[in-house]
This record gives sequence, C-alpha cells and structure tokens, in this order.
Amino acid sequence: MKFDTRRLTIKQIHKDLIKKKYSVRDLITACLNCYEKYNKKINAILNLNERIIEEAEKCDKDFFKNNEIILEKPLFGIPFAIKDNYSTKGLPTTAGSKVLKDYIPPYDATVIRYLKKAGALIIGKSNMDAWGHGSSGENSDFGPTRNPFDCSKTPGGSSSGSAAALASGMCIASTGTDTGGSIRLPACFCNVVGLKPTYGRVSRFGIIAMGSSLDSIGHFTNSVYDSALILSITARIDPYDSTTFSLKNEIPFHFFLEGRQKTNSKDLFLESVIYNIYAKKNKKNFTLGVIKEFITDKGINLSVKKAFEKSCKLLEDNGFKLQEISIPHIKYSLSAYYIIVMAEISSNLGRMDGIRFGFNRSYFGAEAIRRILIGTYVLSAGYYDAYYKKALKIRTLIKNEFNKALESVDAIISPVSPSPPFKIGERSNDPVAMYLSDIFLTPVNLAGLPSLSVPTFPAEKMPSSIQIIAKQGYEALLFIIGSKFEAIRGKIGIPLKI
Amino acid sequence: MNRQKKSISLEMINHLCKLSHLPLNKKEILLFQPQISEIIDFIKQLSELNLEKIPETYQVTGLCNVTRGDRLEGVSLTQNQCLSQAKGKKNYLFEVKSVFESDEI
Repeated sequence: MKFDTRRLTIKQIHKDLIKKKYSVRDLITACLNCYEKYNKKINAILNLNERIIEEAEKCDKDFFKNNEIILEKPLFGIPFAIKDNYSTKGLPTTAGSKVLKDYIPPYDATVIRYLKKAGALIIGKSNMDAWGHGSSGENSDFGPTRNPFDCSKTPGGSSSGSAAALASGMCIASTGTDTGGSIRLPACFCNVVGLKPTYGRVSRFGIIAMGSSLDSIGHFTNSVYDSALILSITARIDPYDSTTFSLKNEIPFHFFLEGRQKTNSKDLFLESVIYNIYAKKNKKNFTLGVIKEFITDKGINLSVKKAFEKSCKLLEDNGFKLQEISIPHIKYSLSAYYIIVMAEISSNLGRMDGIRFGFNRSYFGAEAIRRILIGTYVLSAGYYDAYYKKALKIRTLIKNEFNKALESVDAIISPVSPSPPFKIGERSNDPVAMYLSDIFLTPVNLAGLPSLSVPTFPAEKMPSSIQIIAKQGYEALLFIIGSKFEAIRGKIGIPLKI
Repeated sequence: MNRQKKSISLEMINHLCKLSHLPLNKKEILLFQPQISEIIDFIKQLSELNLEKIPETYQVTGLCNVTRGDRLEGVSLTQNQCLSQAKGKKNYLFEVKSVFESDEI
C-alpha cells in the first residue's frame, strides 16, 4: 500500500480510516518506510519505538471493535516524533546530549500522557541540539540533522529532528520546544507549520528544562487545523506545573476553524474571549502589524524579504489591513535573551551531576559548556546587576512595547528567519553568527506571547515562512489568521532532495 | 595579527569552572576564552542603556502564589523507579562521592 505520508493531515487520515481506505498499521508502515529510506542520510530520529507496529495493530483491533473511538480519541492512530527532551517512559531520552546517552525515564511528561490518552502513537525520539542549545541541529552530540530539501543545509534548530522527520514523511506530527525560536526556525526551514504557544499554555512537566521562564511547549504539523487540534489536547492547567494557565471558558481551538460555533452551553461560548474576536472580525477585516525595526534591518536576505513582502501583498489583496508598528527596544532583545537564557541554563543544568541519572559533567559538549560558563558569569557577584538585572529590565520594556502594539493591531506578522536555510558548518564555529539566526524570534519569548510559523513562498528555492504573533492566550486568533493565509496562499511544492 | 584584549581572563574562566563544577583543563580553557569573550562583548550592548526606573520582569504569566493543600495526591515514583537510572546505588540509596575530602571538582 503506497501513499505519500508527507501530504497527510490528521483530519484527512481520520476520514480515510473511517472510509477504510487503509489501516493504522498501513499508515505506520508507510511512515517507517520513510524512516528506512531517509533517516541514515538526514539523522532526524535518534531512537525508534520498537513496539510501534504492535501498538498500531492494537489500534486497528480497537477501531474494529468500536468505530466511535475516533470521536473519543482525537489523535487516534496518529504517529508523532517526539523531541528528545520530552521524558518518555521506557524510551531513551537524551536531550541530544551524551550526558543522558543511556537515560531511560521512569515516567512520561505530562504532554506525553495527554497525547497518549488522545490516542496518539510515538514513532520515535527526534534529534535536537543538545539541551536545546542551538539554531541549526549542529550542536547535537549524535551528529547533525540534515535539511530534507537540501542535505547540505541545516533544518534549523533546536527541534531539528522533529521538523525534518515531519517534512520527510516519517510521522504526521511532531513535538518541540521553543525557548528562543526552536520550533519556529526549524518549521520555517522545513516547510511545516510550527506553533509556539503562549508561555504557560502547555505544561513543561517532564520536559528537560532549558530556560524555565522562556520554554514554550509546542508542535509541528502539516496544516494549521492539525496544529489547533493538537493544542486542544495539550493546553490545560497542570497541577504538576504551577506556571500553567488557561483563559476562562475556552472552547477547543480547532472549533473556530470548522465554524462550529454552537456548543452545548451557549453561555460557555458567549463568555469565551476568543468568540468576541471571531464574531466581530469574521465579517470585518483583521489588522496586522508589521514591525518597522525588522523591515529596516539590513541583515535580511533579499529573497527572504521579497517572499515576506509577497506574503504581505497577498494578505492585503484578501481583506487584511497592514499597519506599521514599532517596538523601540527590540534591538536589545537578542542580548537580553541570551543573558537570561544562559543564566537559567546554568541553573537548570546544575542537576546533571551523574549521580541520580546520566553521566557526569565531563560529558557536556562545547555549546553547553559555553552557556553554563556565561550563565554563571552573569549571575556571579559583581556582574549580576550589570547583566542579569539589566536584561530583566529590557524584558519589561519589550513585553510592554509588544502589549502596547497589540492594542492597535489584532496580530503582528514578520519573517521567521533573516536568511534561507544555511549550509551545515557555515556558522558552527561562530557562536554569535549562530545566535543572530534568532533575531526575529527571541523577542516573542521574552514577551511570553504565542506565535505561529506558517510556510510561505520559497526564498532561493528553499522553504520560507511568516510568523504570526498575538496577545497572550490568543492562539485561536493565530489559527484563524493562519488558516486564512494557508487557503489564499495555496500549495507550496518544494521537492525533497535526500 | 593584533593581540585582542580578551573580555574575560583565564583566571575568571577558571573561577567560573569551579563555581559551575565544570572540569575543564588548561588547554580547554584556552580554547574557550576567545569565544566566550566574543559572546560577552555581544551581550555587553546593554550597558549603553540607563534603565534605573524600569522594574524587572521575572516571569510573564502574572501568576502568583499557586498553591494546593498539603495532601498526598496521585502516584509518585517507587524507590526502584527512582534508583533505576543511577550508576551507583547501595541499600536503596544513591551512592555519591565523598563530600568531606579535598574540594576537587
């Protein structure tokens, strides 16, 4: 049974399963075929789930006994690649680092429990920059992941394997984490949809921490609808993570995309904050802000700029209003981000002592060592005020400036990356050049806002995306705008070159 | 080739290694020094700003005092599960290096 897993969405698969076009086992076999074909070259998956076929067969048995199971389990039979910093019980979890080379967690991360409960299957653990430290996948202690559209180029990072696995058909969705762009950049470089939810939307429990005030738990999909569907499963208050929140009386995010405005409780729906936006703006037009400081940035590659401008024009031609906005302190956000994240990294990695799990600290790679040392430096006596405290103040300014801008526009759009996917090795010896990859992404993490990366027209024949940013908690708006953009943009066909 | 003034001295890196328990030898410290100096130069950009009146942001959720009752809730890990990943264990305890000997990293 041959079919192209790259073009499949969760929505389509469930329709096909009901029509008995193929079984879950067939689907998993097709994904595994892609793994067999491509993984040696692109190194997206570090460890396969050896029991996946067995689990797929069980799904088929359960479906045969009870057709309604797809309604009860919204992710029934869907194979996920899981970024290797998510604790998965019984499956190796390395966070891309030799320190945890042999670590097998005795428990599942909260998100993994939710995904499993919704019927999802885990096909394997995906490669990543060790500890999330990187923008290209080159900092993995287990070899870099390669971009499925051009193997000499990076797939972006740090969720490199998750994006590459999805783009090459090894799975139908994948998970990631975004602390300074680590979902949005690989989503952009691999031509898939990437969601960075609001900080605190999705539980961080069981996910190996990088920067605890910045880590956002998100995912990659082939469509905006699928992204909304998965968020409906993962976004809830978790007693194991006291930084989680939710908006009052929310309805599942994908309901807005189906026009399913009626729920059982009329009051529940009417009280929904997001309903008010949808009801008001569905007939009228959304206003999208374009950050003036990004547009004048001389560091943007010309093709990327053209692709972004083409996207803006497309939106304007289809009823969206574009308006220039300003984030005056945005040029300091990269420095502030790196100070804060390195400080938090140095603290979080203190637990890797080789006593309760893993190997000792001599197993850390170069980028981890750099970040721990600099993090320790900025927190140490005599330097704390000059660096860390100052960075926290910049964070206040950036957060306030974004919130102010989002009062005059519904959402903000921007390019995701200042350049098309770069060559492996091009920036690996220049940490600062590597850090500049995140220039459009880190301000969003500092402000704690949600952002959706949606593929747009290619730049230099390689994938390129736009980023849509909204107020805290307003992911539904991201999905509404994102799916409208998907519809008017049409299909983007870039061939795999593995 | 000009001798660049390194923003961070070898002594400082040595000090940071001790603070963060990173066992680097002299050769490794020499290798890291220029890269770390370059990164410090990059983040020093913030020093040009005067931010006295601005408060710090420690977290962006605005949540405060999230508590629960002091009751046993849910299943925790068994002793065996906790010990399952340790390289050194004895009598249901984690085995650690002696604490009261010399203070090497």
